[in-house]
Amino acid sequence: MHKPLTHGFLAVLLLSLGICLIPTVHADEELEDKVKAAYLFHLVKFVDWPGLPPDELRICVYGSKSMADLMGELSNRKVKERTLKIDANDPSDPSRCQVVFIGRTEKRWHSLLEKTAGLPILTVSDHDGFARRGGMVGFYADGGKIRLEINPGVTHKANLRLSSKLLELARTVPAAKE
Amino acid sequence: MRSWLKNLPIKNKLIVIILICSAIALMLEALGYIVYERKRVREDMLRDLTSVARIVADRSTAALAFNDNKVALETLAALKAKRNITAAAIYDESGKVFARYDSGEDQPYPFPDESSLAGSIREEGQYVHMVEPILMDGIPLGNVFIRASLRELDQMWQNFLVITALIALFTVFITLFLASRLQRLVSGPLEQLTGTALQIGEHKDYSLRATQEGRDEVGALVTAFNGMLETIESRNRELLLANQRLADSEGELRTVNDDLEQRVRDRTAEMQALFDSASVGIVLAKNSIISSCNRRMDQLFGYATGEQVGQSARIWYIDEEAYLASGEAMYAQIARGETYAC
Repeated sequence: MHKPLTHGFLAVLLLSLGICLIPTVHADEELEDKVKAAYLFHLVKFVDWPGLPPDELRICVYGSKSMADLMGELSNRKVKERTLKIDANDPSDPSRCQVVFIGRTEKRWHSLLEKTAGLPILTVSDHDGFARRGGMVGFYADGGKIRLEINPGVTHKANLRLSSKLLELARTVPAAKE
Repeated sequence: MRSWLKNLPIKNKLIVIILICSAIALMLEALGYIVYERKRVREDMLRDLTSVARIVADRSTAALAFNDNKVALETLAALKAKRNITAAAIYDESGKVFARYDSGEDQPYPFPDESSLAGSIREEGQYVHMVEPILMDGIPLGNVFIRASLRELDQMWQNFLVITALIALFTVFITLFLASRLQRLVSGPLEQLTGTALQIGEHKDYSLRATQEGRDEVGALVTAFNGMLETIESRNRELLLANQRLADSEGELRTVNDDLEQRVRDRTAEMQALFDSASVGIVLAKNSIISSCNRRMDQLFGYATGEQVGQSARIWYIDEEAYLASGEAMYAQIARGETYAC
């Protein structure tokens, strides 16, 4: 039996990111999103983009208000020697983003995937089976922990290089198509 | 020690000196080497541990970032290849143990939370504790803790000392062998010279010569020694010759002396005969005391033979006056270089 996400661990994780723990009614969901936000932030460090803009790294958040807020708190932080920019206003053109996060409730995820197909844009979602269905990185819950699912075929096509350290702890899945 | 060394034969002296010198040199060298090695091996071990800690730290970033200690455990389990690492752990940023490893070869380590991680290398008795921060993109995620036993180092020490001792022993034997061979270069000529000198002293045979083997100080000594022998021998020869000559001339001298003595005896006898058979009285007097007179003189004055000897010439005169007058006349005449006869 896995221990559920401990507050202690989260506190550390969020403390390091400068996020304060705010008690809410939907504590579990809130906690989960915080973990996801932290994961998303860390994820960037294990990915190499071709032709990354020299000054900034943009994460676009779709379909999740809480994730947008949580990520917003992280904007302007330094990551990969660049300033982190968060775009949470559902930009119609995702091609300016290096990372696209698609919330579970986002219905347009398929069209977003089509728009980003072949571009060096890391697509991340907590949608069930996201990686299996043409996404790159999916978050899934496993015994109270949030884990990663990666589709290396898609990342490879998009010319993104994922760190072996990341692949080591993630579950890799084959692409649904092909 | 020194007096003991003083009485040793030179060859043993040489061997002892060479052995002492080489043993001291060897000891100093070994000491320096040991001190250096001690430092070096320790530093090597710490460097090795540091690099291991860095690798573990680097490989644990994703595990810590995504809260998955499975990979961290796998990484730590690979430390089994490092036998001196008895325990290791990955701590998260709050100081809690995230993943741990125990080699099982030692007492289990309790892995205290918040273990005083300050200071990257710390020694605790037989163990060294090393802490390496886990950083990702400059953000600290936690720490790698490694506990390594220094026992292996001690074991290495023992091996090292034993090997050094064996090498020293071997070297001493080799030195002994070489020294006992090479000392002959110095002691050989000296021994020969000593032998010759002793032989000469015993048999007084100065015709013996020492053989010269080189042109070093001993060679010079041999030359000087032989020169001295040469001198002694020639002096001996001369002395012998002079003695011979002396003995010869002594014999001659004796013959001449004998001859002379004979002649003196003959002459004396002749003179005595003449003296005794003279028809005049002859008297020899000194300071008016008669020392000798012939028979005629005794007859003239009617004395027995030798009776007048020792008497004063006064016995020939009737009174003191006649004696003095006669004496005066006589001495005056003698002073003039004339013969006085009466």
